[in-house]
Amino acid sequence: MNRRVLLPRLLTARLLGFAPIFDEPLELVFPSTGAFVILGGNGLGKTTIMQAIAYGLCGGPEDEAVEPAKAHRWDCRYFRGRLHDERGSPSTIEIGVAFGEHHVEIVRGIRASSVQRIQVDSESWVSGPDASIRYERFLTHVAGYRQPADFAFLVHRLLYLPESRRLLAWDADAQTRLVMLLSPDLVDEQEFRLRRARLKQLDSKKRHTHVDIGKLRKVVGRLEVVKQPGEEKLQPADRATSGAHAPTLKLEELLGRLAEVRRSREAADRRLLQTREELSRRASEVEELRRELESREAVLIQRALDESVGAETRLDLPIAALCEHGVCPACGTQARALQALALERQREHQCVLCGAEELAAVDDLDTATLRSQLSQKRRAELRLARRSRAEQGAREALRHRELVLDGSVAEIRANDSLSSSALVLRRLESEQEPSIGVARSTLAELIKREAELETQIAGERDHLEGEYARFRDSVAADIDRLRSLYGSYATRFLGVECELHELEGTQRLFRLPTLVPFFEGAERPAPEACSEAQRFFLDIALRMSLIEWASHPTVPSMFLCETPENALDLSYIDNVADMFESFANANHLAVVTANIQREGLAHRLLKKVPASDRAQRHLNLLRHGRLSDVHKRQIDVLQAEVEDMLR
Amino acid sequence: MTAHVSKRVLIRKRDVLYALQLASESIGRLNRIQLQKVLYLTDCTMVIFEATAPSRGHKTYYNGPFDSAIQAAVDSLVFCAYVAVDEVRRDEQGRVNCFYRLTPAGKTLASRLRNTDALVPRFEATQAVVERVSVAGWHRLIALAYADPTFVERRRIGFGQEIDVESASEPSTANLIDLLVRALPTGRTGGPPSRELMVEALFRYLELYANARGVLRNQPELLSRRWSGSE
Repeated sequence: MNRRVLLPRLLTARLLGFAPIFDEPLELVFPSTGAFVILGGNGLGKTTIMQAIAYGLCGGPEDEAVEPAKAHRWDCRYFRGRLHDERGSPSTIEIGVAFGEHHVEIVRGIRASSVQRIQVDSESWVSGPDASIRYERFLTHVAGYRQPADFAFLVHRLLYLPESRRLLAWDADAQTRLVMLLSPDLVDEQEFRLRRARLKQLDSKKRHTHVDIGKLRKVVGRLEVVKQPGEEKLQPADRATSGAHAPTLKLEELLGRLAEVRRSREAADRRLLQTREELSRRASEVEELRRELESREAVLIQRALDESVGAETRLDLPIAALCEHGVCPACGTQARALQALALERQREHQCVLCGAEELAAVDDLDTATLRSQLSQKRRAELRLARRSRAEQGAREALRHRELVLDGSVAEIRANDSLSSSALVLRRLESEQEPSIGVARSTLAELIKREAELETQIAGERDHLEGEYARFRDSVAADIDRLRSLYGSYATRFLGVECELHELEGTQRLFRLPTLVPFFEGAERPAPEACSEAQRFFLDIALRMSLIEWASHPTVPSMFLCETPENALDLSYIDNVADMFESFANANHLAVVTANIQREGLAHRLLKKVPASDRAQRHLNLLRHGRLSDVHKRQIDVLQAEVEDMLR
Repeated sequence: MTAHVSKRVLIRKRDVLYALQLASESIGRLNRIQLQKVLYLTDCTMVIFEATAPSRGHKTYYNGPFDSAIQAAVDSLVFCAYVAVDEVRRDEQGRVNCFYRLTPAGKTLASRLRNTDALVPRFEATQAVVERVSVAGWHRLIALAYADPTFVERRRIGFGQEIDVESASEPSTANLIDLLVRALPTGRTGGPPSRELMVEALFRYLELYANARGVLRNQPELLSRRWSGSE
């Protein structure tokens, strides 16, 4: 499996200054695995706690790099609107979180989204502007994320399922981004995403150009009916197009440099590939020699041991006692049958107890020559590895230059297009007696531009398709494992076999496959093909399987899930509880909010743990939140229900 | 089909005998964790002695790098009375603690192995490690093992990770030693730096990393300045 990022696992959360929702500081200590249930009612603060945890971990999804949809963006202002953040008791969120073996404590306020204070492992606390830098450094250097925005995306789109139920299932963009950022050594997800955005931009320009061409054709058609004298003569209005000379020159220069850089980068790609292949061959040779040397050393050691047994035989050596006197080495009883077996094995050069055979003798034990060969090959391997790293660095630098130049070319073309052709078109449309010569030349220019854009789009699309195909091939085995995990979770929920199918995308420009459920003999290509409950819980199954897929078996993670039972009827409660139990059995933590309801999901989840553990696995917001008059009237019933769950 | 005697365990028997023989002249005896750490550090230095560490031996574990073949080897040596066990006891978590030392038969066997030319480089590597640990203090042994770059990199990912100290393509001890070979002055002969200098440089790095608390560990440029003495 390729290298993965470290996923977080929540340890503690502390909310301070959260009036008017909580009058007192709220402290939560989460178990290392299994379910933790936040029990409450409407308005008691369940959602606030979950949002505060997500915010404490990575800030709100406030920028486009984390949350493309404006409707789902929020930041510290959201909390400022809900809480009385006062100078005397500022609102703060303190989160304790594990990333593998690392323990990180993060403190955020709500006046700004930045980290106020941070402690990583046993380091001293870092405060002020350095705190955010320290956290970013931890996320990129230790947890393995390419950038902090990737971590924020992971939290907000995978680990935290908010009450708004923004589905991950059926969202091809989010699925692809997650799978890519969870495999950071295989693909540069950001570059892939930016290239897709550029492809859309190019396509949009092409469509605008196409519309302009249509309009200009009409103008030309009109002018051709009323032929003007001296039509081919350059009119003063044409100077608007002559002004494009300077950018055209710059464009040509840029295109020349881009072609040069691209050639260099392609050559660098080829060199890097060759070096890596050579390195892989060299590593196999080294490994072979290493094993050979190991075998010869083992034979020598065995020989020394045999000679030592022969020379040092004493009665107190258990094996000698067994072979010579038939004394069992474990209980000391005379055991003639065991002695006979031991002697037979000794004659056959086997271990007298387990019968394992001695290593075969090696004719040539010239280990010095072998060692010298190994040293030479290892030095060569290290040289190659150095070269590979240097070539990789040079390749990245060229790739970066290529992208920058590519961007500049696209920008100039867009501006040029607007400043010349579109301007002339507008002028032609507005003029009383426009020149047919200008109209024709502008039309020809636009047609040429459209063809150029078409070529650019085709090139960009080919590149993206190639990049995606390479990535898809390299994760093929991993995706099979993801399918199997999903099948297990989704089948538990549905009660009938459910698989994860990869559906070819329907996008016009670049078809990105979507992972969709398949059950009862039919693929479900869109959310509408499932009931509301199916959509919601199959989305949870996908998230759980992705979390388990992305986690190392010894480094469990977590899932924060808001009130899933609202979409659920009683007959499915046990299935959902089983799904959560399966997630817990993989050593992950599931933090679930739930309303206090008879025989609800919280009830089932708590009943799955021993009664003695239930107190540590829930938070009762009847004790911490501000009760409404409706709650107060029902408090005895609600409290009795909670006690029943804990009994 | 009959199984063969494990090569890994055989090789570790030699390593255990060397470590206990050399430690007897310094600290006297080694406990289970110390034995693992001495052998791990010896594996790290094998490249300097133009020899090789057992492949895919150590893994990241709760108490740092751990190779199950080492424990199997020492248990077998105890059974055959080459090694004696002292102060066997269990802690509150039920883990066995004890100390190991060579018996007279074990000392004879260790000497016999040491007199085999092909097995000398490992002895020299163990000797260099035991000497350096004795200078640093045996209480620093675990910190030194934890400071090894291969372990630091693999531990980041979690438990049960294979540690290949000789990997060329990943951050590893072999890469660090390669860097040192290229950075250290070669003297008048123009040949590579001496083994003593290499071991000294490696252990200075491990000491510095082990002593660098907190943020310094994640700032290689600062670590490098401090190492070169410019800060």
